[in-house]
Amino acid sequence: MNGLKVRFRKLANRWRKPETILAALFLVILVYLVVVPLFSLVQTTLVWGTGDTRIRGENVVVGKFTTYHWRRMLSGDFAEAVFYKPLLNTLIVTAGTVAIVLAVGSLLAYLVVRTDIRWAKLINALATVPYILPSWVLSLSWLQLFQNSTVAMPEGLLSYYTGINAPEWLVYGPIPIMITMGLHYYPFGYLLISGALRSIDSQLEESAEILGASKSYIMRRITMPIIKPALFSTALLGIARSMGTFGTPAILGLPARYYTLSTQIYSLVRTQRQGQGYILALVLLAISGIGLYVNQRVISARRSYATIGGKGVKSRKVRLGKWNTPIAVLTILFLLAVAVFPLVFLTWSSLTLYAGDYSISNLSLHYWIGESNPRFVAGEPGILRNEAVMGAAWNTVKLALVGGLICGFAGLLIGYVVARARRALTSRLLEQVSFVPMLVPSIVFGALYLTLFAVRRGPVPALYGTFALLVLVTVAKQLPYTVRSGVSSMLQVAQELEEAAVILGASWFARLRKIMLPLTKNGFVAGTVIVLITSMRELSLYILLVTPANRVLTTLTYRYIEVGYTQFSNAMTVLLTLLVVVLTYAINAWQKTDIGAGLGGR
Amino acid sequence: MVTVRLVGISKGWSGVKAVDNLSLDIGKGDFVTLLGPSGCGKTTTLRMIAGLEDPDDGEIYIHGKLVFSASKGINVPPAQRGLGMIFQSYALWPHMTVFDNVAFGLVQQKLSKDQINQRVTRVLADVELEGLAHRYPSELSGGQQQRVAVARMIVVSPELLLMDEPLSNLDTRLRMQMRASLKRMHQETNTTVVYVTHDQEEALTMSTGIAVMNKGKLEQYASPEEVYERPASKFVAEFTGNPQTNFIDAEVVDGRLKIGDRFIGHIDGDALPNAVTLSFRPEAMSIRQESTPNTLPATVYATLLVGASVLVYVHIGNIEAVIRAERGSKFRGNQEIWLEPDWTQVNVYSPTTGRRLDYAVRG
Repeated sequence: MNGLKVRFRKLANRWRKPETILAALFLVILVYLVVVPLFSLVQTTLVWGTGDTRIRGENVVVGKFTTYHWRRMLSGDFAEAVFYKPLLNTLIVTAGTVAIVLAVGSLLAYLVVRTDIRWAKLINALATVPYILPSWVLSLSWLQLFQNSTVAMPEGLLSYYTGINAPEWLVYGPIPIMITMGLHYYPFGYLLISGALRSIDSQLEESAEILGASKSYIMRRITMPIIKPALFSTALLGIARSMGTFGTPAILGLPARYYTLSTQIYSLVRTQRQGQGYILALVLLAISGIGLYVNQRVISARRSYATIGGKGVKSRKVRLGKWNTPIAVLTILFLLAVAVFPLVFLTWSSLTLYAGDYSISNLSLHYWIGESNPRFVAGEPGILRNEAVMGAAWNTVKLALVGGLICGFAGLLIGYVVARARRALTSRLLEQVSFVPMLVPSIVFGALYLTLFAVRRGPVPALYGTFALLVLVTVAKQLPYTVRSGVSSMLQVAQELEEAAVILGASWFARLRKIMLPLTKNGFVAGTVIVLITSMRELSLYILLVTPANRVLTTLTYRYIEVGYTQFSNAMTVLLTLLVVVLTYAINAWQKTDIGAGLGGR
Repeated sequence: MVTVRLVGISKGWSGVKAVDNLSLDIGKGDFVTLLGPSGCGKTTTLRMIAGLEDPDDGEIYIHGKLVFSASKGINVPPAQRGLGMIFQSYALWPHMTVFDNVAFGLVQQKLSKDQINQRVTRVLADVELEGLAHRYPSELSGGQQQRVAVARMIVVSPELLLMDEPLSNLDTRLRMQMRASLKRMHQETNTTVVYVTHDQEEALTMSTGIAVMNKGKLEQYASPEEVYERPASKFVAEFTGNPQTNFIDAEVVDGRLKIGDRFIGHIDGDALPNAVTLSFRPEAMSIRQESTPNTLPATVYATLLVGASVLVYVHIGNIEAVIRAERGSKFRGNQEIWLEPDWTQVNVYSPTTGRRLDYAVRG
């Protein structure tokens, strides 16, 4: 037989299968949505942009090659101020954030999983709450608590009730950014680490104990190595997310002229200096890339741990004894302080007519339902009767639902393709490429889409300023979550279940509709809910992409924060939080899924 | 009438041949078992007949129609091949009731509601599952699930039924019962069955024909009796029979067989080789208390009672062998005994190729 002919025939046969066609289709789409933007990002840094015509002493021809941006960003005073200083700040803030995420996440995980702490269920539920809050809730409430006249702001609660004026370093700058960002992002660390801790059979530790190992030795040589991959993943995700976060450093950094890379990118792009802004985006991307490489090496080791806990896992809990109740109360207070009090502060602030006056006489519903009054916030009516705010709220809900559904469905289909042909090159490629957006910082991702869709490219129209672009960027950025849940739920469905239907004459669509989708519904809902929550409270991703015609609640809120409408923007933040909570719990009550499962806890 | 005809079927993955140039005819109404160790290509063969796997080479005919041809580029989809398949895991859809599972194929054929109702009810009665129609698979026992899997496929009345180790997930007692009921179903419906198993006993008890496979190649295709009595190769002899088949190497000297330094029996035929391997099943030798010209000396290693008989593990020189003896036989460890072969049950193999040689042996 002619080997080439056989190979060709095999190939031809494979191409008749729907999963092959789907795989190819998704691969093309993903390459366009994920890989092409990277190239156009690099390209932008190497040509003159329209905003560069102001530059004097250079021969500016828009669209022509130049090394100007790189020269300017790599050396000189400008580079010092716009690149090196923000880079250093970013590294400091990120390191601090990740340290807090790891510390809080692992401590909570240890308490809940490995000790007999009281009210463990309540603690577990409270521990995941910050994840569904917008990332800047904590930073706004931080200001609400600590701001004072030393930083030329209205009085915060601390100053109002105790007269203590917090020093500037506690109000603005790296310290508050690290704390608020760390306390916002610790839930995914908690989920990853508690998942790993749960998978440890305590017999592993008991065997070591019987062989005479000390507690600290067991911790060092057995427990830690097993949860090490989870710690690494936590650190990596923490780095990727906190570096790309825009809201927190903007609110707590910009007033004190403390720039990080994400806020610097924003200001460069806003002043039409994309060529230079994108260089910073590339730097963020490079740092994430290094993280990805390191994680890959750890993950490959992680696979060998996967068999742990195949059988029923026995877990012996550490007794806290008389310390149990105090520790539990402290933990709950801490969690309330992180998850609930900030919302209380913001609500309170939104009810004060004049900022900084917390007396009963100053309470007012003006910023919620008041009619337009030129004395307050330049005559903006209260948010509930404000057309711009309501329009943005509707946009937010629409975007979350449409984006969530598309993303959930795409994740499921990609999961199907990957699960069906685990060994095929296309599947492996598909899985890899769909995970890339997870590591691209949100603000960079937004920047990528800004360049990609600013103009018409071949059959793809210019989407800048449309709702479709927001949907597209949501789907692409959140795809890693739904692909992850899609692959795992599709892998749980044995191939024979589908083959039985093939034998009985069901078409591919009939199989999908009657067998595969019903059996993977839970994974679909979990994935969709995650996208829903994430996209509703997402600011960094959209901040560069929205236009006045297409605002979402987060970007509009940020605009009001920028112009200093404190109570007004606080009211909007509370509204947004309520929307997220209500929508999440409505879907959960309806479909009974566990959000934690979709978050990557397992 | 031939129901399934495989002509030169091959299938490989990344250079390893799972099935290698396999040709096989399965007659109408046959119950043919593909038997072999795991990885021998039997399941792959079954899946290629079903159309779930595409051969790299060769042709497949079902009911006289060419359904697959590598050279002509023909590949009929599974549903149009007129067959049913029962999977090892049963592959019942957990989100559908028993009724919906069984009705699925009829719904795909777009039958009317009444017809579907009627046929599903009748089939469920046939497999004795009346009254369980509205249960979900997880609410059924293993045996009941297995019968739903059967019902789901026979409801569309295929003329060819493929089964992939359908009984391997059941406990021993249930497995015996299900063997009987599958065999009865086969007789009643006169369906052609292709059955995959690695359990030689299952193959021997149920089939009208056994195809023994090894490393993707067909070792022997014959009736169960012939496979048991005249295994075509050492591999087949080794793989069939319980607990094991004994092999002894012998020299051929002037038409006589020489084992160790003892001459025993005669071998007839032209162009005799210098050496052969003899095979005998545990029941093909009797134990004697004293030496005669037609016996081999051996020592007892251990005795195991297996209910109806006793298995005596012995050493013949440095060869281990198992002899089946009557219940109640008593032997001590290290006891000297003599073994007398029943020459009609002894087969001769080539020590080099492992194929059976057509020489007659006698006492």
